[in-house]
Amino acid sequence: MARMKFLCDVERCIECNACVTACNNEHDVPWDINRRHVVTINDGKRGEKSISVACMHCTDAPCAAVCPVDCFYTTVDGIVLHDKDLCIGCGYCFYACPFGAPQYPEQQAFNVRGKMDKCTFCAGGPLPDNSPEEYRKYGRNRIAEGKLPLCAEMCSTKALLAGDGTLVSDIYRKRVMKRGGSMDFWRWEAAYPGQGNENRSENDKEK
Amino acid sequence: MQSLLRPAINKGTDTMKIIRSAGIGIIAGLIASVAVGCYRSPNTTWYEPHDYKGADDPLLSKLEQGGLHAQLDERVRAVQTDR
Amino acid sequence: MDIRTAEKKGSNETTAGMDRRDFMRRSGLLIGSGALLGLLPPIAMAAAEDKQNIPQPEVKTEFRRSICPHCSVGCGVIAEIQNGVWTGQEPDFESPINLGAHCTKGASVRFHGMGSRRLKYPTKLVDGAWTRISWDQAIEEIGDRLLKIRETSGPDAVFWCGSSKASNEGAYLQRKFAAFWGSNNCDHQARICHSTTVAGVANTWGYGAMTNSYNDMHNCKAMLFIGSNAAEAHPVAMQHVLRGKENGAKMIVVDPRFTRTAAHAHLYVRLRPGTDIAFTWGLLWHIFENGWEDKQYIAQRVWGMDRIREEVAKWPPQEVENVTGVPREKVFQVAKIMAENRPGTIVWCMGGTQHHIGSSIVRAYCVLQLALGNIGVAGGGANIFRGHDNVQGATDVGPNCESLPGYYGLSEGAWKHWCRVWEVDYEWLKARFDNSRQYPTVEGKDMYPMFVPGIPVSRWIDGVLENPDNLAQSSNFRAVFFQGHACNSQTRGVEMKKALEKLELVVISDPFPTHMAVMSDRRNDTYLLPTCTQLETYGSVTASNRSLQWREKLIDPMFEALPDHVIMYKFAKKFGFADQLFKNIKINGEEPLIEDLLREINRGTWTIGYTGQSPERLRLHAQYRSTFNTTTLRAEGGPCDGEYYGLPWPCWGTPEMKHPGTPILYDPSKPVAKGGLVFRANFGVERDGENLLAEGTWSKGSAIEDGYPEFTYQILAELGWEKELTEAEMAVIRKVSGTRDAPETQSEGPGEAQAHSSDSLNKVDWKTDLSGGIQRVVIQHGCAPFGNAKARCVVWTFPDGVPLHREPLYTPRYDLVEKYRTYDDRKVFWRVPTRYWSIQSTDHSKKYPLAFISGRLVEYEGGGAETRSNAWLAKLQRDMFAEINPVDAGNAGIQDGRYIWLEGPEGGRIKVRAMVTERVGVGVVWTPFHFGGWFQGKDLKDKYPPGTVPYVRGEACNTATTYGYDVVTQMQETKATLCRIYPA
Repeated sequence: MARMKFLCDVERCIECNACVTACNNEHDVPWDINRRHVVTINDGKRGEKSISVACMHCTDAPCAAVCPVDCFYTTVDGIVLHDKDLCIGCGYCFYACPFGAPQYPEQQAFNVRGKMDKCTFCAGGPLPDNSPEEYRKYGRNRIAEGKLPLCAEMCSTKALLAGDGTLVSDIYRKRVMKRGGSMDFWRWEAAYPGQGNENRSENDKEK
Repeated sequence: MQSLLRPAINKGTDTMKIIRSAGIGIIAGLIASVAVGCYRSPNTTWYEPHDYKGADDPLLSKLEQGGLHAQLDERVRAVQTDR
Repeated sequence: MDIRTAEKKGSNETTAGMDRRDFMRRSGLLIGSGALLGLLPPIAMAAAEDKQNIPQPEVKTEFRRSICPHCSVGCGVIAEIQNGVWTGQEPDFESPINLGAHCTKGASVRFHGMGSRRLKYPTKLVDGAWTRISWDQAIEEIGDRLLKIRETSGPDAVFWCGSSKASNEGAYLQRKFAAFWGSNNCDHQARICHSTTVAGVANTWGYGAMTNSYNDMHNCKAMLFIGSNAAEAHPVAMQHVLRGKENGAKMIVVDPRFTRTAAHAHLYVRLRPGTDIAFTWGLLWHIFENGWEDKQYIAQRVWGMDRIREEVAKWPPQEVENVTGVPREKVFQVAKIMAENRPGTIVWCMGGTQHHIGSSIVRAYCVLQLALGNIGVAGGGANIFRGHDNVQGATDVGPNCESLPGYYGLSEGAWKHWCRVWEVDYEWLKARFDNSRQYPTVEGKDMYPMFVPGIPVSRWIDGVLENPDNLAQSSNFRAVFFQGHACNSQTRGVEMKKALEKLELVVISDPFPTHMAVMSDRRNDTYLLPTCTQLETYGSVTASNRSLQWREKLIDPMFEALPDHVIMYKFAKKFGFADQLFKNIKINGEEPLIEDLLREINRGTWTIGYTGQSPERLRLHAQYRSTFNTTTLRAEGGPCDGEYYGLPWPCWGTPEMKHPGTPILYDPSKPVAKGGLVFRANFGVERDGENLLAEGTWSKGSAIEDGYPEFTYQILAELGWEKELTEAEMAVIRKVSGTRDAPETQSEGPGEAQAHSSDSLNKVDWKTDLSGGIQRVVIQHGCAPFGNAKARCVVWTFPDGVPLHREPLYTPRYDLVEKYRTYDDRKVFWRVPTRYWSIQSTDHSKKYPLAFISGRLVEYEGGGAETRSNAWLAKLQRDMFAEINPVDAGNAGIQDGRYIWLEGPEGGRIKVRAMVTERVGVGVVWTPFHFGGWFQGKDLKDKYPPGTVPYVRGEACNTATTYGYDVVTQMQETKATLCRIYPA
């Protein structure tokens, strides 16, 4: 059985934040938490690219490796989840995670750490599926209902894909092959060398 | 510390006979006081790295049965493509 | 440590790794979370807002479907409802428009069901304090005040602002309501959105709407975005745009800003604001120079291209470069790409329309597409992305001050047509208007107010402030009634405050108090009427591609909110014209039946084919939406087989005729009966001795194999087709012609009566025939009811027949004013004096050296009252800001993230955070326009009614914007003004 994966197609991501909001909507996460972020590199410049990032559901998850209370577990298809009753909110997983996925809700005063919260791949936590208790602590459990994470299902351009890694990479591979056959990648450059994708006009440079 | 303590508890009453060194005497005293009523079961979780200690997630067994996974795959094909 | 800071460290620069959202989040931290969250401390806030409307596993879930109430793409929304509570939102995968997708706004609509920050009950301002009142008290008090104003100053003393956010039925009723009140002083957001497009494009080829569809962009070979930032303003449209790109289309973005859309383009061109015509003529210069124009297409379907050639000859590459700032090679490159990759489409939005020459700019775009032969083909077209969810529908059938529903205009004939539809006596309706005297019009004729366009929403403040001697109506506005329009999207905020303070009565009917409730220092005579969103009622909505979609009611109106049409019913009753207004509309309690309103629209709107989209057909399309192809929008199989999704108008004839809708306007490759079309014959049949009708081209299967004029009964009779009209259709036509109203003449002298009757019968045309018979017969013969003509490049009725570049009223290139000066002032134009040269004659560019433009953020929409009150959106954009090029920031001593003052040349100034970025070029400052709740440096949070303070407030950019109005439509000039900036 392959593993559940997210994949964000940078050529399609337009930084619209639908994924972030879909997540807020589905799990009603508090004001100071976003389980998902859209990261933009070269903002406002040539080569601007955006990518949507949340917990990557690592196979050998560093968060689980360092957790002093071992509150993490992995489902059979690779979704990394955790038990908030066990979590002590120490923030060690925050150190370990390469993606900044773990979040700590503000509870009383600014910057006081609460229990860790992160993307569940819409798979809830260790409580009866879609019980009010599970919803309060972890949000909705779409996986238990046979549905995929809402961020991917609602993505404005179908840039963010989620599901069995093999199927996701099939969809992505087909897109890449299609683009490879279009002017976008190599023929365009051959026809207009060095002229594609410029954003600064010459007169700006002169000034 | 915990790994030292646990065998000590197991052998609790036997150690009464061996009262030679002062150090052991102190330990014995402590254990004695535990025996007479200050004892609190140190029901501490034994932490092995990578060994999940939390509650069981009913989703795990559902996923292991496989039917749900097929349903999710069907969903990927239906909704993640451009149609 | 999170991703953002890690990335920042990696880049080892002060701002390099930081994007706009980091910036916002960081600057948010600077001012402390307490201030961010509004009045509540974080803990109370978390308790109040966290985990509301929790789904209950044991409660039955009902799925209801609506359409997203934000932009014009028309995304389907699926709501999970438990016991009337909105507990979840699912993607609408079956919708051929969004395929389940949403942008951040669409993904947030469930927050409406939480109701926090909503206006909860009717409220009035009493000595500066908001006081709760009942609906009855509100209607009585407001009604009495308005009736008194009407009595003393006439019906034109009230401005009725309607909304592009209303349903078709609500917007239609807003127009009809104003007419029955007795005034044309009604308007909505289209005025400041695409009014120049509607006027300019309709005058070029017939209809002023998007010609193709978002989905059709899969077929493009080239896509030219000019003044459109679809990635933020129409994000789900980008799904189709990027599919088109993946199919091989070349994507070009022309904009003063390097937008998020530009980030996906093959080619980005930075243009100086307001020089679109110069740029377009620059493209055409190369096209003509190289013979790239489509000569056959022009000969058959275009009139006036020679006059364009003469003007274009004045725009050689060096002049284009000088005026637009675009290097000549780039202009050539764009022209070459467009010429070599056909069909290509052009997409424009507010960047093109919001200029005092906007109606010329959009025509220049049209001419470019006509020269390339790109109109009327799949993958081509003028894809004009509209702004609000129903701005297309409200433009088509809603509150427009210059027209009755369906673009019928305001002539006596138009009024009589609608009186027949409404079944009210024309003389009775006429008596509702101010008939005391005639007023001068821009055409130089004196006319009664009933036949003269009202004061548009862009100018209502002048309707209040202008010396009444200069107004072409009986009185200044003494009261305004705003139903669903944010005032902070209109320019000249400082004067707006004065106008608000001068008004005797201000009524705001809206789900939220809006900036208007707080920006002035009014202390009394201000009413807030809680009005529900379109998610709390039902009806039809028209997406940008002209498709009508049916909305179901998701939840009951929150708190004491009421839908638009119920509020209008209450006022109509109070004013005593409810029986007339709702003559053929069933009333349930106090709610007019939406279906009846749509049926009335169907019965009257023949001009644009809003006649075939009955409630039943629209419901069927919603139900079987998965059967529609996602590229062509055509149903393949199922009960809608062969029809186009949402019956995009024109959907000719009666619903029973089953016209499939028109997916691509002016596409002759299909028969008219199957959605084909030709250019409309709306400008006569000849001009200067030249034939305006099409030559040697017709739509597939046309019985007339050449151009032809629009159809009247007379032409039908000449062709011998009138015999095909049914007896029932003939009866209606006779009734329309007025002959049936005078049957006694027949007995007196049959010959004369017959002559009279046939003359008057002859005049009944495809627009006024209420039976739809003329349209039916014409279409049966494969013809288009509106004729088959050429598109015209020269609109001789406009001040500039050939579109001419003119510098913005406030231009940073004052040296160009001599050559490209604006118009002379107008004494009366849409009832108000309108200034042009008297403003441009002063050079402001020394003191205010930077061009100032505005635009959209993806998280917010319009004036932002709704979206800034949505916690899921507000948390993502917490501060008003201005984008400033590093060079300009350096010159002004401004540092990234700090507060600055941005001051416009009319003195309005706003305190915003500086975002120093190369996204804008040197000399250009950009701000979003969704913020409100601050005024010139002051947070107005204490002035909101309790519990309604938006999560995020900020300066309205339009506090600093300036005068300037389109010479045809009174569009405001926000996309080219000036400012200066300095540290706060």
